[in-house]
Amino acid sequence: MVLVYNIYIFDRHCQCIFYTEWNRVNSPLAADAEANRSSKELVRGNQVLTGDGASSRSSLDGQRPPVWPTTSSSTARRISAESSQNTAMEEEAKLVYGVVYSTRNIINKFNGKDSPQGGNPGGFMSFATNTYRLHYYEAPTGVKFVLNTDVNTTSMQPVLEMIYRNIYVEYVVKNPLFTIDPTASTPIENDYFRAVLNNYIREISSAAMPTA
Amino acid sequence: MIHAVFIINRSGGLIYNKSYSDQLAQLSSNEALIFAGTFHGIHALASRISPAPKGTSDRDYESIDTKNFRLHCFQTPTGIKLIAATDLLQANIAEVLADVYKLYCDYALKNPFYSLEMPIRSDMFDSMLLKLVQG
Repeated sequence: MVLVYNIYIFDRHCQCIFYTEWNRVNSPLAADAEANRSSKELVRGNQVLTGDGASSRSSLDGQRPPVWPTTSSSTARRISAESSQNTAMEEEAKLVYGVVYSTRNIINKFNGKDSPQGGNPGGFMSFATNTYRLHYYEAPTGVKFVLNTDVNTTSMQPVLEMIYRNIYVEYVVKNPLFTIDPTASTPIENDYFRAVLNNYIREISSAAMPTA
Repeated sequence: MIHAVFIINRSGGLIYNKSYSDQLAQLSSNEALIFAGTFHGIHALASRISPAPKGTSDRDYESIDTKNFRLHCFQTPTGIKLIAATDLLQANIAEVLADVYKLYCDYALKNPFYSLEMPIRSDMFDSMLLKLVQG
């Protein structure tokens, strides 16, 4: 049994281009939806669309888990950019990126392979605290995958590589509508990608531990 | 086997740093200070980004796994971090770190000339730790 909490995908520009969660209690997405709703209520009184809130899509079995960023959240971001306030989700994505980036760099130092081009020559794989374990995989193109599981799951490297090779590349990169913009990042808003990833994670959650 | 031992004080400063093997790159004193500060920061942030409910686990040490070595950290109740870099086969590292903590108490804290939060310069501590690391 593997208890998977959430997954973040970061592109070369340090931006979170995809996030989704499964068994999470303290979700920043729900907090944002709540904050969004109350601020809207303040502005527009009763004319609130509550149907699209992430809180109504809690990660129950059989339901699709909430994802981020979405088109509606990027409009929300533009609105919040005016008030120059980051959402809880943005804050968290930045913290997670900062942690894995710094960890990777100190590990590279220990291996004497402190390359200015970045990359993961030191082979940083995971770290564990007493409540969760964070797994890290970096593709040669600089796309970074961060997966949080329970503490007892030791190696998720094959799983992350599989997500990169058979899900990310197949459904995101090979999509004819996918454009590689070297200057900006594009959030992943591909329904097939979401569905396949969701199925795969549910599969490994119920299966036995993947072998290292 | 243990490659290196680091001790970080409550504010993220490096107070002890000793390398016991040449399998890891030797950090310069500057790099070691950067390592201590970075680790201190990661350690603090790691609990803030936790997706899991507050645990009831009694494990109070943390670890970083890499391709060819592992970093283990044991945080004492007073906020001192004891860190050991080991190979992937090292077992019982929690006990070794607890022994390092005992040595720290006996040979650093109980030394009347030692001031808290400052680098540990004690030949006795050095030699006892060497004995512990070499088993």
